[in-house]
Amino acid sequence: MALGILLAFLSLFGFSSSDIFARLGLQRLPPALGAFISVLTGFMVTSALALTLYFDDLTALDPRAFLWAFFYGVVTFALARLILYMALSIAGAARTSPIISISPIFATLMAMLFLDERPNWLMGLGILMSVSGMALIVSESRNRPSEELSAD
Amino acid sequence: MQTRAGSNRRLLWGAALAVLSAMCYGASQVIAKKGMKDYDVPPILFTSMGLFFGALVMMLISAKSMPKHAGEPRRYFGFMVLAGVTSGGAVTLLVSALSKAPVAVVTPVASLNPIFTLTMAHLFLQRLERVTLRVVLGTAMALSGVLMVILGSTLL
Repeated sequence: MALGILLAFLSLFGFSSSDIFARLGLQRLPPALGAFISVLTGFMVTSALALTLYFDDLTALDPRAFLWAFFYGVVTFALARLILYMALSIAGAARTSPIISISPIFATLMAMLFLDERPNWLMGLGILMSVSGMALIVSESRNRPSEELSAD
Repeated sequence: MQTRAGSNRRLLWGAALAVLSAMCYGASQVIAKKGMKDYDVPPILFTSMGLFFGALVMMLISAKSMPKHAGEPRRYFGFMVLAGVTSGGAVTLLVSALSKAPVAVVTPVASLNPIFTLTMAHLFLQRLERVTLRVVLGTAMALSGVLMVILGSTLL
């Protein structure tokens, strides 16, 4: 279990570093090109492990699994990442990252709609808290001095 | 230099895009859950397949801008490669973490990502952006809410 927690913490470092590197790269590259480069290199890293461990599973997969993976890829690694990079290049990593982190809230809401799941009181309170936090971050944007933008 | 109103509009637009992206990530979790469960696909394999299709789509979308930006300094391409390597490595580590510890333990840890990002932004992006008290407070509230949702869905 301790190893699992350590790996989870290391993954946090990876996700955060990724946002910081993307913010730096997007100073000169457009979000679409940046997203293509990062998704392609991300594929190279994960496919090495996936093919090593699960090559037999890949060849035996139901064709419909590929269709779901296609939808997943388009929504997550094309659409969401492209929009994320557009947001990163406009609002910065410090504002974008906390807003992106509330995606489990949207997942919960969509699971209620499409998978017929029902939230309990703690989840309801969590949704309210997250939305309030997001509102606070967005309201900060309105008070931000304009001269900070000139740094880019 | 932009006017204050112009920069506010721009930052609000950026925040709106971040919300839209979070919605897409939320939808993707539902798609992944259904795809992996219904067809018994290992998470790292499903993620890798998704990255493959995502890269194909992004190649089509970005093809036009490639020649125009081919002359940009190489370090900016290097930053994007590092962004891909670190996020790909992070996904691999997260999946490995899930195989070594319960979801109820790993998911709350994984949701702490913005704390690391804010710290790194404060340390390495001082020239580009500023981490304010309001952003830190908003992040703390948003994270508390996410932790409540995760705990509510796994423990209650």
